[in-house]
Amino acid sequence: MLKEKTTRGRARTRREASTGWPARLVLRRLITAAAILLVVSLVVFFLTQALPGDVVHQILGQTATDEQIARLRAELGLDRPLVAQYLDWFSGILRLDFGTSLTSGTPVADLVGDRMAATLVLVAVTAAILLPVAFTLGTLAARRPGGVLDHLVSGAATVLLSLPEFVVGILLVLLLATNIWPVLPPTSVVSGNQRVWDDPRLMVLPVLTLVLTAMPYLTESVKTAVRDELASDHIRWARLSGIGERRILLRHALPNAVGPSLQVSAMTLTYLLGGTVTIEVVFAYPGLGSALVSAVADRDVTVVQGIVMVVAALSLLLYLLVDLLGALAAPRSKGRAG
Amino acid sequence: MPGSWTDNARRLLIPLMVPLMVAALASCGGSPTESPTAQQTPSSPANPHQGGTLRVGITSLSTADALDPAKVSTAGGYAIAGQLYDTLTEYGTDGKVTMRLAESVEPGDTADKWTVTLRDGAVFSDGSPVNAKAVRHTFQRIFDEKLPPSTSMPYVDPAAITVVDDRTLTFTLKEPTVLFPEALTSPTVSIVPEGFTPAKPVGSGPFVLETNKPGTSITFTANTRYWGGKPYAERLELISFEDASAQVNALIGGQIEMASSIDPSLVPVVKAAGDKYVVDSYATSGTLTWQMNVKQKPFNDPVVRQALRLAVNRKELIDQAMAGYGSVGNDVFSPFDAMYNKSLPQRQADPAQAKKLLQDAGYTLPIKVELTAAPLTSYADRLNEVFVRQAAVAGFDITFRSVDSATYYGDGYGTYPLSMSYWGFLGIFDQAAFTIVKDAPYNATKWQDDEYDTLYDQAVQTVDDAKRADLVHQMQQIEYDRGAYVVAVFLNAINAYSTSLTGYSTYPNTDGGNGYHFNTIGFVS
Repeated sequence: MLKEKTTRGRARTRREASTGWPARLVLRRLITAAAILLVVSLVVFFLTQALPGDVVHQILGQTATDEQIARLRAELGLDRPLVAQYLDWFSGILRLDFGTSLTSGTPVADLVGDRMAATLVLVAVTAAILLPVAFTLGTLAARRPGGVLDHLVSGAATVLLSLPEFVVGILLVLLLATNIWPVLPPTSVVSGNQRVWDDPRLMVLPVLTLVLTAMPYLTESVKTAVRDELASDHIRWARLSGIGERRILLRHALPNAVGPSLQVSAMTLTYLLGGTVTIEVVFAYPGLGSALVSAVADRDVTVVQGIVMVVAALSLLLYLLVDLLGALAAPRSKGRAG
Repeated sequence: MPGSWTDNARRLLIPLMVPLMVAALASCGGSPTESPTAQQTPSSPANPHQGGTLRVGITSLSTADALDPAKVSTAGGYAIAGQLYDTLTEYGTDGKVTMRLAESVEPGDTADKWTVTLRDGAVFSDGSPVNAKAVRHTFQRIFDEKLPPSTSMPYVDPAAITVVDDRTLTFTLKEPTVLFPEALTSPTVSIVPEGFTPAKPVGSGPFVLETNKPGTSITFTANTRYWGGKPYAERLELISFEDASAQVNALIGGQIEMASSIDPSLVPVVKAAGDKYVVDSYATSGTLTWQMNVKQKPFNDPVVRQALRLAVNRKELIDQAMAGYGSVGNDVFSPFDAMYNKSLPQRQADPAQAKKLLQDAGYTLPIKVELTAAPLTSYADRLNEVFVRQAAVAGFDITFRSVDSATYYGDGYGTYPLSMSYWGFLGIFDQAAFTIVKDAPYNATKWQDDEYDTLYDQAVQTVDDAKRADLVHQMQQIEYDRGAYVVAVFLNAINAYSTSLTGYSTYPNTDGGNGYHFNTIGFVS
């Protein structure tokens, strides 16, 4: 009981802090976001520099000679002081110029543009399935704690949580693409200029894997949030006032549970933005995650920076959006704001 | 150069995925225990027909793949160069030097004068002729811009290349060397036209560039002007797979027609998928070789080097780490070279003798040493783990440090006491020039032997084949007796492809499954 109270208390404080003029909220959050991006860019740049080996060694490999190392380093501008390199890169970012890849010499925007689109589509489709299903299941399960659906959801969650993403992915491939019932393409490779969404069949297995692996956590979070709300004082008052269960659930409990659940959703989606690497490897899905892993392995600093900045910016945007939605959904905050 | 490989493919999940897949297949009635040495029949000699898109999955495209052939250093870069460009010579289907754009490469009375005669009728994809001027320009560009082959072919004097007529030119080398025709096989000295720029990669290879998505996929169309005849496939796509299992899945799922250089442990997966696929495996001169740094303890002592070579059970390495797909090495390179010394007795594992050698030399066992290596192929880590276990029996306590390739080739490269490299796909002389003789640019062992160097200097100047063979045998005897490489295994090239394809051939001295020769492969009618 005490625990529930604190949870709710914290939620309310957060909501109060974020009320006020939405415009002011947005402005304040945008300034914070800019500061965060600056810090991120610094951290990433200098961390990448701190990694052993560099892009020149990676390109030349075992056939490197000192002379060729020096020449390539000069060609790529890596012989300049670090601070100058950083400032050059950062001033480019301000003009939305992400620079060129150190390994391929192509503009970073060209190199990762398609991959970013592929990742965004993957995350969007996953979210479009994941969010409604998780919210519905979570809410229904919360209605009768200990009921059949609650047990089913918890049971399935335990099983799925214990399976790493790639195991779910491989099992799905064996099941639906190669061995048992081969109806879907096993990987998401595309031809030439084709894009992965041109053939929706290519997206089924990656989306399914992501939905299945992200579902348990989100469903459980929604369930907990709704259950906490249902057990709260104001719901008890509502019940005492004779309001019907259905109305209590949909009009009172759910809206208040949306805020915290949206936070969890945002976390899940941010994770998906940058964290689909395993999925991309298992399905050869041409997304941002594997591009980032390759760029780090190649010490292709400009590409690493570009991808991290874009993912960070998108994540911050997502959180801002979620906060706004949360503020709008919660009836009590709406009341106070007005 | 053909041996180097800064492979970027990270097959993070193989150790976990492969057993899972194999287990799943076994339960579905597959037969993963089939003998790997029993080579399946390559595709039938049925005539391929013109047309179609050939999709090939390879595990190694990277954003570092250069379109400028002279700058190629990655596996993916070699695969690409083989499509767009042509070399004067190449290692053919028997692993020996054969002519490609050159009709002949002949030495004069001494090995410092060479006459190159070009094939008649070869043109670049823009229609301009592949003539003597283009060849001279290719070399001048390499030396003017100090591109990597200027290091690997230090004996070429760009100012001493004379155009005799349209199809003939002479090279006067700075020093006599018979390895010149071998060195011309390197894709890094592919012939490019005057005014070449990688932004518009015009070459005389079987294919021309259509679309390049660096690190993801690259698409080519058939070069209708190719001197060897128009390639069978109308289009060729190389698609990158970071993960070896995904590559094989894509083949079974019909998303690619060929999986190039698959992981040996995945062969059962392909075989279990039915008779629509062929697994073709052949021995190559490629090797993952251990390098003992003689400037570092404990390998500054020849006894310790000898002991480590004795500690290794070569057959077991192949069986345990490479699923049986490989051939045993004898601590010397280039088994497909005509002058390879076959008279050297095959070194057998004798850990007891190794231990005795060390104890007699006064060492307190175990000898502690660190092995640094990058996962240069999907099974390199496995190979190192088995190696460490074997060496332990002989009294070595080896700590295996697996690092990514950027770290491996970073500032520490050359200082590791024990490391692993990906080499081979070279003739004896080229391999020696790169990694063994005095001042070899890529010698990570730092081993140097005056007697060997003298023999080498003599041999590279000896035009007479029989005399040269004798010298080469002596060179390999020295490597065998006191060298610093543990050449324990040679790798197989393992390709899996759909039976809808035909025209597959083997290139034992060229990197990549079927040496990345895709122009002869076509669809069965």
